[in-house]
Amino acid sequence: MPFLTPQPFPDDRVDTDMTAAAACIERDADLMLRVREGDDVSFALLLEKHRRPVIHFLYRMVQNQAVSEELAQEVFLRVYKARLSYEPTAKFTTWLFRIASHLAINWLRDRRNERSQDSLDQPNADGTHVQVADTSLTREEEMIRQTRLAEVRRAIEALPPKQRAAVMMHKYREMGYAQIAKALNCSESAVKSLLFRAYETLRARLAHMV
Amino acid sequence: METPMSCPAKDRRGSELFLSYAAGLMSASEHAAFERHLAACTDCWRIAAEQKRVWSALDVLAAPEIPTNFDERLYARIAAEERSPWWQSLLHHGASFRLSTAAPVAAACAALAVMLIMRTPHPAPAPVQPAPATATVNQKLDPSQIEQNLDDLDMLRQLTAPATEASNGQS
Repeated sequence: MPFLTPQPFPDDRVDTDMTAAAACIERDADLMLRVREGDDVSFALLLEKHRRPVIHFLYRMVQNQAVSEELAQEVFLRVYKARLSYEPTAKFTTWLFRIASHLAINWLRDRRNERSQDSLDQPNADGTHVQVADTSLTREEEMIRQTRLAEVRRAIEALPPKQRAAVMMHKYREMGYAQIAKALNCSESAVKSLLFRAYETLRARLAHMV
Repeated sequence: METPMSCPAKDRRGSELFLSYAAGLMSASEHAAFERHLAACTDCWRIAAEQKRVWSALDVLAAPEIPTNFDERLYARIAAEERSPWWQSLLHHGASFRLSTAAPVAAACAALAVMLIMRTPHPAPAPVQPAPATATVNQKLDPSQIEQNLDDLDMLRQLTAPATEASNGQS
């Protein structure tokens, strides 16, 4: 396929400046409209811009690198396949995270039903357990970090899928209640309720950590 | 004289304040008022301190590096999907098709088919329409792809806000 290598975007973090955000939204929608017209370079640009946030969101959701990559592939595949009928009726990122959260929540529910979830303390069955050691830390500091990490992962794993998705978008994507509500297809008050219950659970499990 | 803040621990809106405080999303005046209240309220001070600890504890959950061949694999998948015959995708996606969804759809289709058959006494010959020029475009009709696209677009349509809305100033 004639995909070209795009210029990398400088940063995938959310821009808090209103003008820049509006321009960004228009740019994403504009790129997607060009993809609809058959411009594969625009798809490559969208991929370059959103690949990292989508994979990171999915990784934090499912806590498995191989699965998060597979789901991220599915997200972008779906976006590409839906290109011909795309209409910019909503923010592109909201749509993108709606697909991503939908896939992750379904995966988590299926896994829960199968009762075959890997232990978070152990490397995954596919050997893709990631949490690379921080080489700047001493051995003792690294052990403490790994203990904290395991505790955080267990606490997150204890959250129901939808609460987990809300926290991931709120904490790591810095999304507001309205955008999370659209991504999760629920009301803002439902999102607040999800977040409050989730953080309450996390407080009970993690508040002792200093 | 400024009205003292009602206790967030006893207020329905309180949870929102604790989250905003921990996330550093309060305005300077909100932050100052909240901190004044924390200094006087042990319950709120405890909850705020716990929420802040949770907020920073979550920072430890780093995400992995993106594999260098991610795009390559994606484009290979896209190319494979576009090459694959429609029935293959149907079989692939059919495996995850839920009976609870399929049963009512099948029943509705059957009822519709019966109605159409019963309400058409003399089948009129279909007028022959000249094919429009655009029909020559080589487009594969893939039922599973159409179904999935409709699902994805349905998600998009349900998002009612206009694309230009810059909610929360974020992209």
